[in-house]
Amino acid sequence: MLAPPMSPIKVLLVEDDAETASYIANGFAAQGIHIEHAADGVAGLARARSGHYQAIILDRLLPGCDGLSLLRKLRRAGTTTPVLYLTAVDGLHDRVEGLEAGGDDYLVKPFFLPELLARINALVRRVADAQTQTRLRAADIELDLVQRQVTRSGREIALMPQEFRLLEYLVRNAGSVVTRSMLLEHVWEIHFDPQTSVVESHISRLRSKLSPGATGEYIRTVRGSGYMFIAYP
Amino acid sequence: MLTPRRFDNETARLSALLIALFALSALLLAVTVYWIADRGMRAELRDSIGADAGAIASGYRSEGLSEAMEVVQQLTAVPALSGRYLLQARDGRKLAGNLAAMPARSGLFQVMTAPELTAGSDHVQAGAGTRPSATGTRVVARRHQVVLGEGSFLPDGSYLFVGEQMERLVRTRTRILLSIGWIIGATVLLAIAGGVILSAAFLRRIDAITRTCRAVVAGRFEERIPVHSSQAQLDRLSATINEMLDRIATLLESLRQVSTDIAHDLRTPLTRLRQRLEAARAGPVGAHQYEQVVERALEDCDGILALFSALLRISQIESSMRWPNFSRVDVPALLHQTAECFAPVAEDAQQTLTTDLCAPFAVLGDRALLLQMFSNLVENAIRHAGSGAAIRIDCRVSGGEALVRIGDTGPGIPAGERDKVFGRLYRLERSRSTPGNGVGLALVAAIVKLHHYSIALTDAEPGVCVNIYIPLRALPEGSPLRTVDAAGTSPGSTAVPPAIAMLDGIGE
Repeated sequence: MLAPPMSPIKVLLVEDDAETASYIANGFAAQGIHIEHAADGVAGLARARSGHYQAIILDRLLPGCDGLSLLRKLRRAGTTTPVLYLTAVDGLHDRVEGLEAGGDDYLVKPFFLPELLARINALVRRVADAQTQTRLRAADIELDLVQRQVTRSGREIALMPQEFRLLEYLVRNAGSVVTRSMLLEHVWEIHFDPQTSVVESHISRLRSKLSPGATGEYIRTVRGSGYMFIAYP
Repeated sequence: MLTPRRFDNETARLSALLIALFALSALLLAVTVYWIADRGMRAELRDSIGADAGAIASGYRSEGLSEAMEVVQQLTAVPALSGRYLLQARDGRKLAGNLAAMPARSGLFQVMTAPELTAGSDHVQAGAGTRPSATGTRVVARRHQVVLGEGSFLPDGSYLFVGEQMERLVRTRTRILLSIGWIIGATVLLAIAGGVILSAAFLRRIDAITRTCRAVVAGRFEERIPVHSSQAQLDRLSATINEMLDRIATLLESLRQVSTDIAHDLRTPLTRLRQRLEAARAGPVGAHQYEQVVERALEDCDGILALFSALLRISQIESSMRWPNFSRVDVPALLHQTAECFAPVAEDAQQTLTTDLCAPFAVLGDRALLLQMFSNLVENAIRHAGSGAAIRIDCRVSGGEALVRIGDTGPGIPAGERDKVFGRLYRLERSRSTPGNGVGLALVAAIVKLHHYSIALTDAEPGVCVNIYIPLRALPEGSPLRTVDAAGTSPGSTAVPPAIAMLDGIGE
């Protein structure tokens, strides 16, 4: 159901900085994700076209061919592999421009390895998921995406619209870590670092609504990374 | 320094073109006048020829050739006569008239007579090119005479030619041609004079613009082109260049500010970080202590990175173009979203967050930045108002302007410090201990400026209230947003693009 795919995940990393590349490769290997590395745009494009990858991590500033035009070529050629930009390019409109060119996520350097891992996991899972689901289920929690209703063991739980979106995102990624900034971006459209504990406050409200008795916890805090929805508490 | 070259290529070419145009139009006028005059005079000549020929022919009809001869003699007897007549017999013998015998030919044509001698000289040799015979008679006209006339045959075969001297016509033509020459000459002179005067004035203005631009290139960024209060193109150009220079000055100032900020304000936390690491190296060693130090160092690094990107973001906003990322943003809806997002945070801080929003309306803006602006203000209130405070977001539209207010009942900001809070890295002394890097309000100010809004802090007694004034302007034709006449809007500066459309029908 929502368990991670069994076959090992292969991710293509197009990155010209060798140090960053080995840092990522080592970090991902520890999580059982295999990284193939291309050091410039031309090699990256060739690999992306030929190989079978579940996701591509793409730098924007590359020798040979910049990331943006690489992705455009790739998309024109019909490749639909999810792409995450990992870049220091962080102007006002760069994120929008990058996503419009066919990217699926945008992470700005300097980055935090668990953040990158969580985002790649989410991207891979999104493709694995059926696109036209109307109901989500994890443990005894069920979400009706059409009626925007949540039930726990058949009993309805009243949620605010933002709480529903928060829960939906957590359940979609059940079993994997979602980071604070992933939640901020997907649930509240916030692309900056808030100075208050927005995520924490909402999570604690959602927790108390999901399990008033606090018997089993659905949303686990992963220290230093983010949160995880536990499918089988 | 700049020396004005009065007739450089550009001006000379323009002036020459202008002069040629002037001359051409004068020439056209003159040719028309000439043509009309010539035609009129020819017609007059023909009428007079016709009348004389008629008289002679009617004499012939009533009493025969001798009567015709008599009429011709009568006609030629008039002194200072311009008419020329010839009646000659069938064998070519001249019967009467003041022209020499010539080959008979009917129809309208011109003949050239020999230069005329004394009046009434019957024995002048006719024919073009013949020189006057030196008979000692006084020469009255030196030139060849051109006679326009009509030849016809009388019923008995004798030949009649009646003509008029064209001397008057030729003289008039000459006069007209002469005046055309004068007119064109005068026109060209006037055009040259006008060109000199106009281009001198023009060049003076151009020189002023060039001088200013050179001064700016040389580093004197405060120089501006003098603008006269007219709406002429050159003034508009000058005003536009001045605006451009203002913009450049703003960008430079922003750049300078950012460099200063980074130099001064990133140094402090970096120094602190270094001190901590040094202390850890020198101090007592243990795995637990090291872990703590590393933890703190990572936190410090995150703080420094956050401050760095915040400073960078502010300068990006300050140097940003307005249009590329602008779209229709429903302000009350965005405020509602902000409130929903932060209400639990306020609640956790024992505060209340309430909203009082008007019907939906849209402005042109950068949605992400406006969300960040409202979020920063609300977060600021949450962080500084203290527990028990009431935070209130309200929004209303009146008189072509929307007012968004975000107020709290906290300790407020002293009146003297209210202007300073929008500067970079400003923090009230008492809030040094609370988290935050002091760039939040500077970011808000940058976003406000990018959108051409205005912002003011007022005393909420108790607490502080942030007022954001959003001018509602009608959108231009062809804009992707619906245009609504926002009555009572101030015309404002023309450089400010319109930034609002009312969303009619959304509130229904």
